[in-house]
Amino acid sequence: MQLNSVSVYFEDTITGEASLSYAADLAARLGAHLKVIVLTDSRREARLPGKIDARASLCRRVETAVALKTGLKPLTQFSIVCSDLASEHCERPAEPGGILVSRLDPLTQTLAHHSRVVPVIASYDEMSVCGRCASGPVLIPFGDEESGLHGAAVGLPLARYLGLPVVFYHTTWKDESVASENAMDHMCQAARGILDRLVSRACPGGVAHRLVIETADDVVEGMLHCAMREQASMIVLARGPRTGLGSYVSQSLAQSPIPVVVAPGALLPEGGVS
Amino acid sequence: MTGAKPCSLAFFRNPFFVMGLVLFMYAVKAAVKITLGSSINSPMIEGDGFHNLADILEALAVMAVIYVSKLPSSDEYPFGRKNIEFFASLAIGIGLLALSLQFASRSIGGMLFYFPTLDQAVRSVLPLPAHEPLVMDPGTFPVVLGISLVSVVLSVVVSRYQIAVGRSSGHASLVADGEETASDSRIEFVTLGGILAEYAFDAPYLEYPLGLLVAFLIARTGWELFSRAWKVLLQHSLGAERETEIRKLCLMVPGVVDLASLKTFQVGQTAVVMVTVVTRRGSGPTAFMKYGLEHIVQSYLLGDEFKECELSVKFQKPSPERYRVAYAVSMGESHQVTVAASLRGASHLVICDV
Repeated sequence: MQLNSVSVYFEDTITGEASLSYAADLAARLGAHLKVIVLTDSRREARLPGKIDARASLCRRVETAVALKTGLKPLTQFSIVCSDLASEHCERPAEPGGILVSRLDPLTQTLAHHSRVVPVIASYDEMSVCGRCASGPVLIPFGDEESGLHGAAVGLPLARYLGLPVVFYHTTWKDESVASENAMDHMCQAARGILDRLVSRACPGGVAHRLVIETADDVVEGMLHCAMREQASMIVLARGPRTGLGSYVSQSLAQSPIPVVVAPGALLPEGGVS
Repeated sequence: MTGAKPCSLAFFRNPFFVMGLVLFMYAVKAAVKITLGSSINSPMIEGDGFHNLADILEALAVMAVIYVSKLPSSDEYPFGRKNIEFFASLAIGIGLLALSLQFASRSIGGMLFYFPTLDQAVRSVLPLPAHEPLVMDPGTFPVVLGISLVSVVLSVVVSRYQIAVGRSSGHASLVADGEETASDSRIEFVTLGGILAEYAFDAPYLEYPLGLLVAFLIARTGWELFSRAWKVLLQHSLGAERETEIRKLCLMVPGVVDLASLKTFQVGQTAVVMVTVVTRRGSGPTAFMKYGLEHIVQSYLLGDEFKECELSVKFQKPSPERYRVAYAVSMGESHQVTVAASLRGASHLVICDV
């Protein structure tokens, strides 16, 4: 997987500054181009005199602000992209091969739900990728469906580019017919199959990885507790094919203190989501 | 059969069993030393026997302290009664400091005995105890030597046992009593050295410089016990070094913007950390931040010194970060105000406090 650009929404607030800083750091670590998205509204601009000047002026102001805040050079190291709220393009501000950093949880959920094209990182208040812990692993949770593989499709290249280890996390329900205290013995066949495929994908890329398998009472709680214990740099998840709102991804986005990467998952089935 | 082994091992680690053994040891030592000392007319050995009698009372007091400290916490005593152990440590620390002073003055008195002029000059300024030379004949030598040797070995073994069990079970008073027993062993070792020096080289004075060194070691142990108990009882912080590390670790937890306050102290073997975290995150993430903070702080603090760690976390929002922003606006003919497309096209600047 190629990650050639990092996009971020421009927001002239302290928290927006954190997202911009995170995106700039991520772009630098990935060797990717930074795209700063400016939300514009063509309907509002139409009511203003000199509308072309208004948009150009806004872009110039944002360009100056980004250069000052990040120390990056315009055009060569970052560019300004306008996203019109009045057009459908707003929902797909980043192109395939890119990654979108977004601070706003509801926006991230909307983007992750509607767009299956780019990975989206909810960076919250973090200023840099490894600012808290230099070797914090990338946590990739998996279940018995392919969403874990979709997460790994983004998480493994990210870990490789960032030089971070990976923790594959799985929590399983206790199988009452199994006497073992080892959580791995309670895993179902489908989850074991996913685990084998994950490990086989991590090995050729040379990504250091290990497993955490447990029988937590609650899936999201267990996953977030593990991420906090491991001092994870990020959690990479993908939505399952059968769920949309209220899924583990949505719960994680709402509750995680750690940046969450929502990887593009499988296409939605006909008839919408449950 | 397999289940019996850990149970019996646990019995040997029971603080009351250890103190029972200590009581037995002191009772035997006191009986033997008082009997022998009076029979050979040795005030030093007899005095040591009475010192062991005092140790029996101290051991009984330590057992009472351990019993009280093990009582569970309640509404009235939310942290339990573990601090009582440090009252015992404080008392034992003061006792050791007094003992070291007494032993040092006896050793100085012994050294000055060989320099009568200096002895007279010093005694005119300092009230040193009267020097009592060792009284022993060749017939009693093997008995005295044997008893002194066994006494030293017993004290060393029992003190190590007390300290090990005290540390593993988290009973500071047991550790302090073990340190006291270890000090006894050092004094007994010096006495043994004196006996051997007199017999082998006819040079009992060798005992006294060694005694001065031992007095210093006892004073150091006494001061350590005293100062640690003092700090715990007065709820001294866990120390600047530990607080700096805790602050650093807390800032490693995602979502933490800053620490508004950090207070630390110790109750018994429990480290108490009270922290107010500044965060912009809501109630959902803060529950997991609390988990992360507990995990990272406990991993750092739990070990030999602290058996438990209580972390109290409060979250607060950052104070408003106020700033000013200027908007370039243009006023139309009908006094309608709109944001200007550029500064050149602006008629007014509106400055707002945000």
